[in-house]
Amino acid sequence: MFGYMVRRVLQMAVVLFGLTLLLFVLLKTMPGDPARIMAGLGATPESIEVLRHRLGLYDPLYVQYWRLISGLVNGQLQAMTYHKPVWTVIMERLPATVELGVAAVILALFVSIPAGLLSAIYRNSPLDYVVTTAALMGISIPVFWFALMLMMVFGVILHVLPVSGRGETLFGWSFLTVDGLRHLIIPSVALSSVLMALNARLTRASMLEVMRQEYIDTARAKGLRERVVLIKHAFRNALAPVVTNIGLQVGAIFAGAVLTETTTAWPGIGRLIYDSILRRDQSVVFGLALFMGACYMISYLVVDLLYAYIDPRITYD
Amino acid sequence: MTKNNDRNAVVRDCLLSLLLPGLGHIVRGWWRKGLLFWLFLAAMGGTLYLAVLRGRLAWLAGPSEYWFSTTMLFLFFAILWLWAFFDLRRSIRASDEKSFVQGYWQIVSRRFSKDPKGLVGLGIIAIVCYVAIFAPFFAHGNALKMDLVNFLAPPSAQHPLGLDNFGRDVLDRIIFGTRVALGIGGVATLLNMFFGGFLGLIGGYFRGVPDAVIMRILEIVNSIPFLVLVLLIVSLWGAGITTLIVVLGIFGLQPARIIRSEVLSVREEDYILAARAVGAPTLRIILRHVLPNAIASLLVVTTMTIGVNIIVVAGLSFLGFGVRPPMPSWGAMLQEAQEFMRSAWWMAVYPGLCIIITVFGFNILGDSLRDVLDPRLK
Amino acid sequence: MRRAVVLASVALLVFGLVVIAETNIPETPGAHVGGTVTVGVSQTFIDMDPRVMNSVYDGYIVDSVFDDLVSLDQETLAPIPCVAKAWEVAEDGSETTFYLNEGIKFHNGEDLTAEDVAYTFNWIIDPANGSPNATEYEWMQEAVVIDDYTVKIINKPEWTPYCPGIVSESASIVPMDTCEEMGPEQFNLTPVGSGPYKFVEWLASDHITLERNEDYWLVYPNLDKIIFRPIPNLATMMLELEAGGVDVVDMMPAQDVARFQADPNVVVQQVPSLTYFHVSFNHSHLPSSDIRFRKACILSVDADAAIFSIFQGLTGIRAYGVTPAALWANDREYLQSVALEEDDAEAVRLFNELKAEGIIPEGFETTIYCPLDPRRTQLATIVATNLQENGINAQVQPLDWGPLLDLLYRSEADPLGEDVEIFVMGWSGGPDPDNFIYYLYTTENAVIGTANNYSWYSNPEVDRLVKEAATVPGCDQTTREALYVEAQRIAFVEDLADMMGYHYIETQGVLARVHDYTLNALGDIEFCSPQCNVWVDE
Repeated sequence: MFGYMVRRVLQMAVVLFGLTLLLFVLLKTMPGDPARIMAGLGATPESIEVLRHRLGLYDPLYVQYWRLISGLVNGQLQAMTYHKPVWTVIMERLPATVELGVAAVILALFVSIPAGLLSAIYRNSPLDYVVTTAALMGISIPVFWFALMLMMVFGVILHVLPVSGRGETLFGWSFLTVDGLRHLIIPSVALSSVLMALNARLTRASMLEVMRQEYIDTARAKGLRERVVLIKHAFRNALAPVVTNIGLQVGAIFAGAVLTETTTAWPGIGRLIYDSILRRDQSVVFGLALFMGACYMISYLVVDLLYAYIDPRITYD
Repeated sequence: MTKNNDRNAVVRDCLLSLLLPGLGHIVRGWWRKGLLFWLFLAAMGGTLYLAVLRGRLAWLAGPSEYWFSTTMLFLFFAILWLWAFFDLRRSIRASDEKSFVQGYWQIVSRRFSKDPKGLVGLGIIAIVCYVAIFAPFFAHGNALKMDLVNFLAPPSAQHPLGLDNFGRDVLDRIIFGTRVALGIGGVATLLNMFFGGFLGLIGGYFRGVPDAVIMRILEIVNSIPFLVLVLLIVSLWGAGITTLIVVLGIFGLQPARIIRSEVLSVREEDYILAARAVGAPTLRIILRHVLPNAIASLLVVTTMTIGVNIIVVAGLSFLGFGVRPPMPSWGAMLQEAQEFMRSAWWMAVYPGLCIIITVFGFNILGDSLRDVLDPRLK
Repeated sequence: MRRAVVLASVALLVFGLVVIAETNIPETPGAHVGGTVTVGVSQTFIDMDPRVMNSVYDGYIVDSVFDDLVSLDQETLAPIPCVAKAWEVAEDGSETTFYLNEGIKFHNGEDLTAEDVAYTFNWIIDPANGSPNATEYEWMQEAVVIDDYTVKIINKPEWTPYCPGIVSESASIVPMDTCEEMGPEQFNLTPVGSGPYKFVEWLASDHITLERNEDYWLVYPNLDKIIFRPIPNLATMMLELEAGGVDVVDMMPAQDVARFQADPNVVVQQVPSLTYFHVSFNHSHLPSSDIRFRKACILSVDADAAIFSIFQGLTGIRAYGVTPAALWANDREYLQSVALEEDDAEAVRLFNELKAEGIIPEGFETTIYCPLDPRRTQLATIVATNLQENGINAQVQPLDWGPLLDLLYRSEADPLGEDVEIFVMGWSGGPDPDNFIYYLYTTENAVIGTANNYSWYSNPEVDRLVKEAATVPGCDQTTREALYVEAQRIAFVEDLADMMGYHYIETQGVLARVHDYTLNALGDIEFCSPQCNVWVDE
């Protein structure tokens, strides 16, 4: 187990290093001079020149690369346009995305697990088709479109929810206040549409898989009631892969967050990365993409370890 | 030998089938198939009628934009005739032999034809493809023609889905938009399959160092959210249909992982070991033995990936990095429409529905294929 | 575009001492003190330091947190006293002396003195600071402190007199000691000014909160709090206004205007803005440097219909020359009378002629570049469609600022900008024609790397006329107007510099509960100034 951990962490380091190279190459080959964007139209050549020097754009590439890396490690890397260190810029917006993501996941699980469960038990029944169709519709709707529709219906026509934004916050979290909680509903429902679909299908597949196992037959043969068999034996075992798989959906959450946050004016890191790409804030794009990559890899690792914990048959050598 | 299968009856039915596809089937009482042929025939007849009505049938001399559709229409007719004929002959033989030995694909197609999900999905995709191929025949005008006087006109008899903010017919744009949707979704997915499949095969088959390298590359690319990666690269190269296809095609590497695991499990099977033992060349083993076994999962992934790619393109359009105007694409239409959401709902609702239904079609087909192709399911 | 820089230079046309009696803010009877206003802003905020701030959106905050040296009359756009109670222009126009109001305090309690004013200007023009706003002060030599409440601004000799003006709004006065203490980065995050509202907090990407400055020297501001919320998606912002989630939106597309005008809860405010948006050509290479190509392109499009379909006659009007309709020297009547009408047959004939001569190469494809802005993308789309109909394969490429400026400004690596023939851009300036024609159409501004004249148009005659008009001795407006009119006729009628253009009409939506809120042509959002004091119903 320990050996496995060490190997995985080493692999992660290799991947992170590769990621930094990929991002650096992308950023440096992107057209668009950050200094020129910062200076805006009508700037004098001199002021652009000063900005370029200040941003270190004339340094040799390896110096720039090293500055990005070392700056991220010691936390001193300054964002180009936000007047703050990159970490501060990210951390200020992270809670918004975390609570949006967590709310979306919780919402998704609340809907998708029962749905998947029912459609597995009543396989090929009308109920199954309805649930499957709804789940597939979920991943077929463009997220931004769904968000706009929700805003229009619940924010404007029915006037029961605030349209956009984050509302009041307490210690930087909006779910702690009533107003903030109300603001959270529309974005998290929009974002959860994707996750709901994924998880409902996963629950269904996993439940079907479990119900084929012999111990279910055994349980039935023992004369247990069907409900007991399904809930106590099948469901509990089917749940494990679903729950652990949430870790693997970090990528989908980040991608959905870019669209959801832009539409609903939610101040999180999804909107930050889009803004930063447009402004060519190379430091923030670099730091944030790396951060997202690291989140993804760590959650992947955690999932693997969770598997081992949940299912004692799996060993890592 | 039953009366139906004597030589004269067979010749007669086959001739009937050549006269009108499906007639031979119906005479034999195979109603479902026969009516299906008639349905195809009616659809294509309707298309031909529209083409003639709009004067858009074009031979080599006509406007080049109509060549493709005209050629395809007659090709389709030819295929329908031949298909009906050969299908009838094959069915007669099969009914003669009363054979119960069924191949894998026969079982699959039997199962598939009983799965409503798959049929719905296939139907949706077939319709979308059909519209895409014959777009110039279905469209009333063309997708670019502007009417700067009657812009934003609501749906009417002449323009069933209304006009957009430039006075372009929304229905026409949707019809031509099928080409862009399938073009980007389809070609990008083919590239996905090619690159992803290649990497997956190599990694899974050779293991060791190549596998480790490939897996790290996959992890690097996968670790950045796909949309963010694509956004970075699209802002690098400038948006546009070629960029979108190439970027989605190269960096959508998810298939690699699936194929790799498939290959990993296949390569330990006895018959592969046997093939290697007799010294079969590696390439041959991969092509002849490994690939066919991975095809099932490849098919599922392909269908789903097309849907995902269409959605990603819509998302990119929303962020301003879609195809270049004035090219008609559903994502771009939706993006343009959001500002008009409250004043011209038709601009937003119809392209949105088209995306949802098409992507749904691919997803549900993929779902069904997964069930159907799964060898463990009874 | 809405030009990133607010370079509202003010025409101080009157020579000699100007003393205007104390400013009187019109007091609305029954104005309610208290309450909060929420403003929806279509872009995320970047800078809060007026010295480096170069986006109109940041300007909204700066307008309330800082005081300007002089303010602008909302109607006439003439300068009116603010921090400076009076000013005096030297007879030869080489320097201007400002006499400041006494007793103005910054939010941290320090007095606002001549030192702060001089510091503000000198900091901006110092090349070492790299302020993007330095261009507007090209003419300025330095600012000198005379005594505690008198400051003198000296022109460079070659810019004497400088008729367009000597005061820019981007120069809101900053406190010298605080700035030096904090350093530019920190000051950008926590600005300290002397304006009617104090900066309270800036929650990343979410909102900026301002609160009343109890000790404001001019008047007691009515509002308790102002909240500025960036809402990047325009559709979302319109929904917010409809739902009453924001009190003011800084932008409203044409298709929503009629709907909100009918809505009793919303007041639509409009004012013609000092902007010029245009579909223009690259004059430095073929085929767009050939006047027949430009003419054929112009003839291909029905510009009136195109602009009407986008703005519906509500939020923008067609431009015939570069000078906005709201400004003098616009020469609209003449330019309109000679504007080319759509003539597809003639356009096709010209295109064919050019193709036959090989000036339009075989398989010619062109891309119309525009920013990621719905209005300009729409205009480009119409142009592309019309060109396609006349046999020129044109497509639209909306780009974000980075690559777009790279293409238009060119780089040393690609000095010709081969890719660009047609593009859509925009400009917003101050209340003087010079702000437009000088930057956009003179050879001096066609500099590789930073060109403001991104169409690379160059005509020595125009250069001469514009320079002369900016430095007419005595700055007589009639003389200047004649020069600008002549320059404009050369560029637009003889040389067909641009394909078509429009002037944006600033359009904002305001909830009916907000009172005394008025727009000016510069697109400022002012809540408490020498001319207004916004209040809301209880």
